[in-house]
Amino acid sequence: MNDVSETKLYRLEADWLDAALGALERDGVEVLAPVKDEDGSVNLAPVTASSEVATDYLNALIPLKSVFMPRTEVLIEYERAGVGDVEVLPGAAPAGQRVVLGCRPCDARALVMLDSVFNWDYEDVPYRARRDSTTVVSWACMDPGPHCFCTSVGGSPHSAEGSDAVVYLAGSGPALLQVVTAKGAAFVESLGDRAQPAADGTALPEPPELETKFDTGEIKTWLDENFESELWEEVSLRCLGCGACSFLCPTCHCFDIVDESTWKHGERRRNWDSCAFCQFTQHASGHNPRPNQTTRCRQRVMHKFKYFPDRFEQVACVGCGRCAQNCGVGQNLVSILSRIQSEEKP
Amino acid sequence: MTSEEPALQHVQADLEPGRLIPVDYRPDKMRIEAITVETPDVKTFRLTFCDAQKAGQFAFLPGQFGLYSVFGAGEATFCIASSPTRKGYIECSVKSAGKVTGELHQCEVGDTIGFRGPYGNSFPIDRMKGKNLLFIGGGIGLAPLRSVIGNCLDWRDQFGEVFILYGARSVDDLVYKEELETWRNRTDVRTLFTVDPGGETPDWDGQVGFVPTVLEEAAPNPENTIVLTCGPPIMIKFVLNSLTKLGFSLDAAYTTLENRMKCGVGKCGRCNVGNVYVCKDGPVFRCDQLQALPQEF
Amino acid sequence: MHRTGENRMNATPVEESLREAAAGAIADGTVGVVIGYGHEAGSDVATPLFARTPEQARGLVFDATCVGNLAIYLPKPEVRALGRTGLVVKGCDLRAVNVLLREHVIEREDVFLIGVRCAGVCEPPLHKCTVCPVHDPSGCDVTLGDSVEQPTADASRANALVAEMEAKSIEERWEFWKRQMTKCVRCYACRQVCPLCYCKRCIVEKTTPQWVETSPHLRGNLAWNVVRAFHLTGRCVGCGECERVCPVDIPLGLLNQKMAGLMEQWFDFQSGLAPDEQAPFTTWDPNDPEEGIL
Repeated sequence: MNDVSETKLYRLEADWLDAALGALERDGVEVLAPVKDEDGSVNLAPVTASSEVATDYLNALIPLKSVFMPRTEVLIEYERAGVGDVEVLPGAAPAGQRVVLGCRPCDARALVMLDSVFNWDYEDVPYRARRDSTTVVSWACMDPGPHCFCTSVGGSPHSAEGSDAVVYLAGSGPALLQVVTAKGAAFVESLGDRAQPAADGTALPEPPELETKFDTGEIKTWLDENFESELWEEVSLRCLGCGACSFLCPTCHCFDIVDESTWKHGERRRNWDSCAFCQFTQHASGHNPRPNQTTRCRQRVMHKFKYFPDRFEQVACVGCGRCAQNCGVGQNLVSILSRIQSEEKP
Repeated sequence: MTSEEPALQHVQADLEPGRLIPVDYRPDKMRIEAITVETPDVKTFRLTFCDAQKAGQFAFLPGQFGLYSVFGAGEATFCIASSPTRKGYIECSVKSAGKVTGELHQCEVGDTIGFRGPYGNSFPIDRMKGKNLLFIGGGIGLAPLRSVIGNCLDWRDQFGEVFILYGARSVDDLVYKEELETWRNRTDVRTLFTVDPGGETPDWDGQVGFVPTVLEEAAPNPENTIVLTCGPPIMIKFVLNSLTKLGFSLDAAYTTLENRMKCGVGKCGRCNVGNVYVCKDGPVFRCDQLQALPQEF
Repeated sequence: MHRTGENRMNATPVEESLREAAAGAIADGTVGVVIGYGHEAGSDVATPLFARTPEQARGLVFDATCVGNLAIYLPKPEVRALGRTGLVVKGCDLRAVNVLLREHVIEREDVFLIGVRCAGVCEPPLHKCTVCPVHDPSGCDVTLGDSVEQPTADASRANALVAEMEAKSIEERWEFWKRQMTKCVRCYACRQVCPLCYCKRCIVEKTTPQWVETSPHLRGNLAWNVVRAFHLTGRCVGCGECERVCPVDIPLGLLNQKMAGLMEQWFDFQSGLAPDEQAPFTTWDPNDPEEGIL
């Protein structure tokens, strides 16, 4: 991904961010950028001025997926039209044009995985509408955190996969912008003269080193053979069965569909859901194909590192480390995977 | 077809490689035309599309399912229980068990509900042509079989012998009583109906015994026969044992899985058994392929 | 919390006695498992360690990173399947065990309690530690560690955070809680980590009728978090785990502290100080004033 032609590399003037925000606002384009809230968390939020944008952050707390698959969204609405009848109204209007300015490459890379699922024979219309109307400009990662492991899952702190453009913010020096897609090229146009083609021979900065912690191929080999293993019971004992890891995971996409209504008006909503929840697979009869935390923990690891590769030829993990960082009991995907790796290679 | 057919063979009508079918989760409205009380907790709903154009376009294959919704309660997944040869309506049979099914049972003729579908693959009608057919159903598991039985009986001359074995916990729990009678009265269909021991009434003239036991006693000939079976998981497990004992090959037997689903189109992530998605790769599975999956269903 | 999980070679005296007590209880069959704390790379706080052999008990630690309340594991069927449970408890954790005993979720003989005297965890100490009434857990099967001075209770300090909130106007408070509740993603980490949220089927999972909307919008989130605070009123022991594990940092402790303050004010009751205490909402007393009852 680093062999981009030089014409696709731009040098950004110091005030490029203000120029971008101004131009996009004039065009009626909403800009979502990392913003630090009153409690100190950084999240993607609408901005209009560069002063609102946080640049010194590791990653957003809530992953980029929420822009395309909000934690709750209205799929359809309906009004009662007399006894026993309803009028079905279209769901929420498709999002207008948006630019995400400043997600991390790992989160952008997760979109490649989400695209696979949401366009798997059936095209998910709300997801696709948001993808089509959104340009993703990520900020290359210069200083990965202690939980990061993107290089172990085929990514890189500078990965351009899933991004329309990648910006390399280089301290006080001039920033570079790498155009990846046509949408990224259109974004550069909005910068006007604040973006100039980089001089011949301009090289992208080297990505920071990150220790490779495991090999997904070897892990897959072990998973292929070990649906039944004592390891699942061992690693699941401490699991609380909450949804923190899956909700904060940029690739986890499982959802629930629920109706909420008053007598006159109702909504059918899509909400994030988690395979860790005890009722996730429970039938109305009470039968549950995954009746305990052992089977549910196994499902999460299997889905990411076996089932997803079986169906889509990629692992469903980008190594952002949020699952390990946010687990209340220190349950750690990296340590589970490292253990699997040691089982595979005794 | 042979046992070498790929494990994830897809026979879903609408799906073609490279063509995306848009899904916006908006259901079509359907009107309840008739309600049949099958058992104390099962009702069958006959439904027609409110939109005439949709009604004209709609087609499905036996074994496929849909997501039925009661507005205000939500969606639930059931197979289509009527035969695709009977145009103009679909039927579904629903056991009252939770929020949506409970609300559905409160609905009356004339009420409007929602429908998305049809989704999933279907029974292998092409492979069944020219073969003897053995249908083995248990409880409300007769619903998907009813669709394919109706289809086959409407094209009766395309198939060999037809044998329907159906059982329920008690006489009260037998569904489609009218059809059971019709099938029994046909000379070109062999039927055997049974209830679990203790579930019989004084005037019950069928068998008494569990489905697998009755199957072994009846000892149908495995030669040139395709088996379709559907019922509670525990029944399926023992039926497959009995079939093997009788000399049937499980690559000629099919069943359906009914896992919990929300989307029906391979996205919501809860119906998978291993890397197989019941909504997209099923709900119909060949039994030998099913046995090769992780036993997590 | 400010020490990453390095694996220290040298055990402290309390850790030595802890490992010895745990290994002994496993070796002589007193327990099938000891649940205590261990260190694991990648985790800033000590992680739960399930020791099922004396060797595994060598990994037990006790230091300022041992924040979690391990009583959460006591009611779990998969844990009980391992045999009688040995549990490492600080004073604050013991309060949760006491409520589980009081509510007969577990019986005393089901559990072997290894108490560790604790002056407080984290640096600087957590709020709950600065107002902790039980630095010295009593009623355990074994109690380890040097004695710790127990400061006299100071109700105003215990309620300081609530008082600070209540000094604000009602509008400010509403804005504050609206903002906090909007953040909730409904991952239920608060419920899952709570030793007293042991209901087999939580009210939020009941659908006929649907008492609480499951969508993570303000309305549903408010309903959920308020229902939870109410269900814990008179039961919550203030271990603060819900707030600690909340991935979006909602100050859930404030809700619980408010309710605990009212319980103390109205009923002179603090939950979990003894396994045989009479909890106001679950104890019938013929002398109860019947104001408000028809």
